[in-house]
Amino acid sequence: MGVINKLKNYVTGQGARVEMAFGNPEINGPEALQVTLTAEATDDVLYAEQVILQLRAIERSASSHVLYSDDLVLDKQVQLSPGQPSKWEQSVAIPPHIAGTFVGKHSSFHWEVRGRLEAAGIDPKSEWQKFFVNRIPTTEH
Amino acid sequence: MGLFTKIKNYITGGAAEVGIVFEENPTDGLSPLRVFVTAFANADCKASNVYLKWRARETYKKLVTTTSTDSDGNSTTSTHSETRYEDHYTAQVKVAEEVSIAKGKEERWLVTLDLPREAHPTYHGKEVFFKWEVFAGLSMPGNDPDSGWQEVVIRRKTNYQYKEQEANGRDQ
Repeated sequence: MGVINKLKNYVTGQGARVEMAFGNPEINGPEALQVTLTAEATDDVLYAEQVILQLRAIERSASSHVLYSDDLVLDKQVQLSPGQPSKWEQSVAIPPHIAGTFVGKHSSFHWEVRGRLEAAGIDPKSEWQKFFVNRIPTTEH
Repeated sequence: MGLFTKIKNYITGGAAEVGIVFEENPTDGLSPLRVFVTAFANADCKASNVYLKWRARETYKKLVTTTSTDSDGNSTTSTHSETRYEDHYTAQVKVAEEVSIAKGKEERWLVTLDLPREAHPTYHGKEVFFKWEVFAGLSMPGNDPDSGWQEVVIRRKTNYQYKEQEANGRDQ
């Protein structure tokens, strides 16, 4: 990405709409998560260095602790135009040594993903979206 | 046994050593859980009963805000996190009644527990824990000799259902 494009992103604050859909929001056993990421520029052409899928496992009670995180690069040097959504499909393996989902009355342990475009100055991203990992838990972290 | 020893056992529950042995640990908790309770008598023991308790306990942190006011009427508010507990499931069974164990002897009992199928499996996190624990005791005058809470790890697949409205944001 050229200097002009980086500056353009900074100056105009142009963005993109980043959305995700799951093929299987409930993971059973060793299954991988099937994710479709869609991104579309909202105002003007957007140049992104990378398209990233972020995965995390987060424990919440009084405070939050990310017990696992990983970034998967889906694409590089991407140009997005308004009215022309781009789509990426990814199979995401869930590490077997991390616990599955736990939902208590006052606390939880959730698996989440979000899509992020690494674009100079703005980094448009989706919301973190939960999915459920149903499998025999482990006591190792 | 001297009077002093009797009093000591009364206070400490030291008349017997109570233990728990799980036939299978970890277990899937789907088939009945077999637990052996052992009691070794340090002194002649007479217990009205032997009991077993079990629980599924969620341990978590909660933010607590406290406000204090000094003599000048100035209020100070502070927030800190406290460890809290909530039992999702508790149960108790009587294992035996009118038990006598002579000093130096050991008695054993086998107990079979049915764990609720819908209950969570074990979770060990950083600040959050969900544990299944079992406790055995002899009901005697004074402090009961007991095993303390012993964990049995339940490893089984969960079955959370995806619901769109719950899947986004920071809700639990």
